[in-house]
Amino acid sequence: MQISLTVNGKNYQVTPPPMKRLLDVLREDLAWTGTKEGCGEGECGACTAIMDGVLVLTCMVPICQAAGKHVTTIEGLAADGKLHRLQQAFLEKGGAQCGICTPGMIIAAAYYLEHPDEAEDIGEALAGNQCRCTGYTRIFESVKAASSLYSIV
Amino acid sequence: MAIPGKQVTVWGSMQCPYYVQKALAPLFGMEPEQIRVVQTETGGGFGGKEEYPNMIAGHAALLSWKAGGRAVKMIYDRREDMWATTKRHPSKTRIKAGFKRDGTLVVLDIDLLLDGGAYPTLSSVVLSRGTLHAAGPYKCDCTRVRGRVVMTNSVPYGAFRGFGAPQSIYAIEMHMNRSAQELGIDPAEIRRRNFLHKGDQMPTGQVIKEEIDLEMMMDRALELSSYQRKRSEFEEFNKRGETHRRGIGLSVFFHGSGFTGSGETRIGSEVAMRLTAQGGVEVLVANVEYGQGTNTVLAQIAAEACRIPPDLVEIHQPDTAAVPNSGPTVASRTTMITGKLVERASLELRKRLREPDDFTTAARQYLAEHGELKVTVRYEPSAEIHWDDETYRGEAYAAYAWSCDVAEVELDLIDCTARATNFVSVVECGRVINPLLAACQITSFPLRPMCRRFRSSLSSFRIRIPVPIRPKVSVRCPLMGRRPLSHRLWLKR
Ligand code: FES
Ligand code: FES
Repeated sequence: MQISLTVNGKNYQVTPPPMKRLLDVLREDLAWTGTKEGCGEGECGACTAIMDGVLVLTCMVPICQAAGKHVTTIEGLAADGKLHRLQQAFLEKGGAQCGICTPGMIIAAAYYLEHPDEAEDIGEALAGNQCRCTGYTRIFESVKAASSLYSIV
Repeated sequence: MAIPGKQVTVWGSMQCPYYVQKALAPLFGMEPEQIRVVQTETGGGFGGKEEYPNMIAGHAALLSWKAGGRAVKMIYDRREDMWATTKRHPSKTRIKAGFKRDGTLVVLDIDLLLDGGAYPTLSSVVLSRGTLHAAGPYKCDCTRVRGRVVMTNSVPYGAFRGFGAPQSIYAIEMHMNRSAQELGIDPAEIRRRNFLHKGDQMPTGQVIKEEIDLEMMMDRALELSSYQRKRSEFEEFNKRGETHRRGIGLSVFFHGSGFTGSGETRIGSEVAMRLTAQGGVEVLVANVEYGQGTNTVLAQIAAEACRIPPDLVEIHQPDTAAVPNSGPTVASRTTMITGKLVERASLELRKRLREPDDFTTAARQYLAEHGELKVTVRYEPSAEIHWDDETYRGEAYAAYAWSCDVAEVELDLIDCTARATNFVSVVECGRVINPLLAACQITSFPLRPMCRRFRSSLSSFRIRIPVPIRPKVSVRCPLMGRRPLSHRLWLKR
């Protein structure tokens, strides 16, 4: 099955089995390994990416559903060699430790910064993303720092 | 990837590349040098990747061997991971204690029992640390600790953040609370009356040589958490008998850094460093980065000792073909033991370059003249540390970290949930190399027990994942978190 999709602004043609997970296509076929697999069953949020403006768990998306879509992964956030403000905030505030949850966290947070009305607070915005290392407080601080920057800009 | 008769190469996420090498050599009947182990980032460790990767690496390598040397990748799905990899040892501890009427501890009898699961794993070592932490930070001249681990039919248990110590610390701290209740003394007070000080003896006969002021630490924690005020407030609140109950409690504990007893001597870690073409240095260690900051801290130490900017320090990927065995990345030993060796190696490099003012220029010059400069240093046991494995007497650990934690919780009696509403931790962690990373470790450690207590029903067969904590660290299960708000309000009424 031939499928075309756009990842971080680049067009790709792939021919995977139709039920192959978007996560695997990203990581194995297209070498966008920034997106991580945590649980592989939709519980941890490590594999979060944005698909046509919607937050998705790429481990739960068969590639056939991604045909013709635009996918943004963690690699698509930094622009012109400069880190996204969220990435910078995570770096400065200690929001990342081992890094497995971080791509998903940042993508979910980036989505929240774009759509602040969709969640009551940062806690709700990141409710589907789990972290085993940081104890969350520093992740919240990072997002808060980035969002205050955001409103000024 | 295993090529029959020639070489085995393993790539994986692990804490101790040399453990894997040691385990695979007899499995394939080969020399250790023929087994190459490369650590690949990323992912956390927490002890779960201490010895279990030996098993996974062995299975993958055997499959590859069978397939004539084709590369084999092994991935456990979530359920397999829960079944097969190691967990924290469940424990049961009985404590009998004798106090004087004023709360002074005079006798302590502790019986610690660990469930070792069906395989030996690291149980004996976990038991050792559990036993050595069992009496808590209290002075008691008459202490007996009996530690046992028993074989059962459960999943394998192994290293897990704290390595047996949290189990026994929990027991002694609960016992202190109950004793306080019996004696009608405040839980903070009973602890204060029994704290260890410089010059006191621990149950192994180790005399505390460093200044430690647990009273001051506890006072600070009590003050930061408004402990006294909240205790009486909560008592009042609970008497009203509404749908919620509130509580505040504290614990004080120590944690030994580095391997137990003579462990460091037995390992004899080695660290190597060499000059790079840029005029900087490369650090060659087998200790791995898994989010706790190994690479940052070692680079800082090397940069400071060599007096060069940190971006001139490179850290080689942990690869048994290239780096010496600087020991496993466990037991809070990396900064303390490996860090010190990195410092020594850096100073050695400086000495060979004749203490230059400008390290970079001197390094480049040296390389132009001689081609290479690599130094290796080895751990040297301190003359002050003696440990007898037979009698369990001596200096159990070279250094200790001390901590006082105060936690507040709120229980909802109707929907049977608990929230941690505040948490204060005062830690004496010695000399901090990187304040941000140290703070990251300290803010993250309460998460574990909170998840375990409040949220997760983590059993080996039905798996629920412990779950996000919201700001102010409240805890709910995933489904409950998503419950419509009106439903919650109704429940509260
Ligand atoms: S890997 Fe997709 S949610 Fe965990
Ligand atoms: S940083 Fe390790 S899981 Fe979040």
